[in-house]
Amino acid sequence: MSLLIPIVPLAVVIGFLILRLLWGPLASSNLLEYQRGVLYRRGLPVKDLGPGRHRVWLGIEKLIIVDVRPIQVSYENQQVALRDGATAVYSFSGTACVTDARKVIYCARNYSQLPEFVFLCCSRRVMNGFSAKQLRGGNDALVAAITKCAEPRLTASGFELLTFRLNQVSVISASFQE
Amino acid sequence: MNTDNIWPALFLVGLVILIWSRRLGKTPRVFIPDYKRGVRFSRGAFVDVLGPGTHHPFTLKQQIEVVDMRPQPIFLDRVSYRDVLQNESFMSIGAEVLVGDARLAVNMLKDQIKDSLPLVRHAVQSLVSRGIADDSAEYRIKTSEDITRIVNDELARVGMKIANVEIVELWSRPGLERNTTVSN
Repeated sequence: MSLLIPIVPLAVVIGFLILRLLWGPLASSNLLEYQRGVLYRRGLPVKDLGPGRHRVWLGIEKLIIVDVRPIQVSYENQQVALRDGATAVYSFSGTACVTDARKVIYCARNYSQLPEFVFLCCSRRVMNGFSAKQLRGGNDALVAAITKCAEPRLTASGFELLTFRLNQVSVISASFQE
Repeated sequence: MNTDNIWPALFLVGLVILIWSRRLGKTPRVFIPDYKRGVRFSRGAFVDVLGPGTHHPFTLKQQIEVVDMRPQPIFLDRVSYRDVLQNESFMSIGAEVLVGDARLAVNMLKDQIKDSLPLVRHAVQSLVSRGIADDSAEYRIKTSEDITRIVNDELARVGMKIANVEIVELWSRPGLERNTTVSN
């Protein structure tokens, strides 16, 4: 019994040291208003976190932070071949924001490039199916078609399409028929 | 058990923990989330591929290279070529490039995405120049599938792969050969 008196504090110290070795130090991380986080423990996602202060065991946990501020995309003087062989020049701008932090982490290595990629692919694909005559008719149908193409793709990756604008569209070379 | 043998035992335990903690303190702890893999080397030689979790190399002889397995979207703008009828053509392609084999990718490529692009472009050019450019939806679907297959064969050598290939722009016009008269 007399041995327990020095052993107990020593065992606590040894236990603490072992815990610290295995789990690492306890740290706190602050998420700002425009940030969301996903807490990973032993390599797997366990919890979605909102703004505020969160405690993380550095040895076994990691907080992956996602910026949810809108991502602005703008492209100038892009050329596209139209269905009838003519060439058009167009400029567009768009905005998308993060709605699902967990999906966004997995969608790409660099998630901020994904809206850019989707806008570029959809605009090029849709316009490639239009003729010069259709383009001269007005931009509304074109914007609607591009938005319809981009929206589900962005949603599937955890984004929300906020705006899409075609700033300039002009046919610069004649079609094969002309 | 008496005080004569408990104190040397506790001293020994304390010493082991101290040495262990000092040793581990010299090597960085590597956290690998489920979308990454770690390629472990010991004395420069490949050991194994680590899955998700926290890994702490015990000695400095061990090194862990972390590889991101998530896809990276790429946009190949206007890959130009001449088809079998010598029609001047180009196509723009959207796709996703990702790591297929972490060990190969680490050993073969310095920048996995950037260094894959020339291989992708070359494979696409060699494939589409063997066919006839056609604006139909069927042609786009079939060509996308063919590109996926051919490019994956090429990228497999360096541990990469391609997915979700879509032809977003296709343009073709009669080339020089059709307008040239042959004279002897």
